Amino acid sequence: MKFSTLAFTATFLLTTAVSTLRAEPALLGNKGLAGQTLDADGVKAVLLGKKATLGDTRVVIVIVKASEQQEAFLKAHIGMTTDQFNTFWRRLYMTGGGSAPKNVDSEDEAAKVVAATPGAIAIIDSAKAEGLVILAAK
Amino acid sequence: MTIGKHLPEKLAAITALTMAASTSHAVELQLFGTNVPSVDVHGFASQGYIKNTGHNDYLGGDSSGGTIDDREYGINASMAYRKLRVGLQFFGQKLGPYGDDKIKLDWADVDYQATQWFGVRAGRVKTPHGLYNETLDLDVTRVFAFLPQSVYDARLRDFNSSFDGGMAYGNIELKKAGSLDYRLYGGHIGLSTSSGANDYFNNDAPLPNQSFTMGATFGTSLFWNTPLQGLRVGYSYQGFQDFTADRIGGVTGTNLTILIPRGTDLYSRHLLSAEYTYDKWVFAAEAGMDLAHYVINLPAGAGPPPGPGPATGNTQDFKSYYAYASITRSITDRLKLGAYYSYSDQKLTGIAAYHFTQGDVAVSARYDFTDYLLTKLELHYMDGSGMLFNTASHPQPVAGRDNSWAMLVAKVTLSF
Repeated sequence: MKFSTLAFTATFLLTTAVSTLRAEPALLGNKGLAGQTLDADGVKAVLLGKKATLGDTRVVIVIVKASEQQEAFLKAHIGMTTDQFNTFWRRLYMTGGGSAPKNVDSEDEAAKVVAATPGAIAIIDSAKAEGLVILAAK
Repeated sequence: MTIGKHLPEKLAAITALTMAASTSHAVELQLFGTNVPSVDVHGFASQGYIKNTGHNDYLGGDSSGGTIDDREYGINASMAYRKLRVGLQFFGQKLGPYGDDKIKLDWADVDYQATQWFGVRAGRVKTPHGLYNETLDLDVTRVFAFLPQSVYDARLRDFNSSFDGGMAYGNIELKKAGSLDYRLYGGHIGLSTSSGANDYFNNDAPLPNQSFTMGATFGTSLFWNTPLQGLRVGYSYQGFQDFTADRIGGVTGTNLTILIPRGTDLYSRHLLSAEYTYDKWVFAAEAGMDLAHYVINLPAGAGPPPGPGPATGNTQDFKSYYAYASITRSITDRLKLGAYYSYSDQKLTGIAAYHFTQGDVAVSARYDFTDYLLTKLELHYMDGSGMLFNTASHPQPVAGRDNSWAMLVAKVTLSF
């Protein structure tokens, strides 16, 4: 095999691997939630407001307006699209059944809000986990 | 608690607040310093138009001629800290002759969720019943302009929406069997002789009520979140104790009026529910029944009650059966479509007996212009007229009703 072909193949494989790593959605939380991990039932309970606190800290859900990774994570864990998830929470907080999530336009903004807000959690690329806590992987 | 104010001022205030918050999804107020959680403020305002064929007047009062007396608006605020949350909502409505644009305290409660499986809520609490009772007024949370009326009668909003009391609730994990949501509650509902509920429970005879009272209400709502992702099934029960209405009747052959008490020790309602969410589809179905045994203290000399049924005896047995099935789907990010079939069968035996049925086929379209502005268009075909009210102030005797008719509803909603 020629060196150029080998180099191309190696670069392609490396890029694909890195891209795959970057494309893993995770449930990330504020650093104050360190030590908390959630199994599948726990993720469902927190995302659906059945579990309002982690430890003694009230959960603040941050929802990205449009995110394929968030959509995939929500479908996998609670069987809802982002729109259905927003509607679900609207029903709760408009009837005294829960606290309103924070809505942001991008994953980067979500990461900033989670970093700055005690108890905040969001579904974003695990590669953006710096300074945040991974509560549950994909 | 009722605050009477002019409608234009109320709508202007809500609209201004909505537009000010148009770049965000809420208004957050830091009222008590940065070390205390912020107060989240949300609101909504809906304005609808109802027009039906023929001369039946339904839901919106003078709907046969077309009416804009179909609107609701509200503003709520809440704050949460650790396991404690407090909040309240003010609400106003005009639906035909009901509501009258008077702003009322819709809900106001203190909530403490000790664990996932146990929490308590007290104050004026939204009544949990079926899939959608708690969101009766929240046009923004559904595709339909009107929920299936056999189960969620918009005219009974004052009666169904909330109660003053307490509720225990929680979510119990059942491992591989899913989880169970439970609510147990008890309290009291304030009743008004100017409400839709007053007319609904007076539908056997168009006599005005002088009083309309209830001893207590209590109930439960149980939902099993099944292991099949997206499927939940449930049962709800609500009871009304010492439910009475004192009607004003006449003495035969005179101009004298008398008080005719009519009451039941217990009015019960049962509801089975199922909802399945799959991708962009939502399928829902509910079926229920209401049961009551009424005793009427008809004084000697009182004339026969007006209405189609027998004029003798002093008891009534009421049985109402109702059900619907609905489908909705998101077509695009902005467009959603939906349809339902709803059926109601009400039977009263004994004095002033009747048997009323009404079927309702509805198709709806919802379009979201933005995150805070949406519009809906909905068309109904009605088979039967059993859900019309025949009241002293708006008589609609059975013999004169249209039994095959259509209704158009258009609605615009602002929310934040």
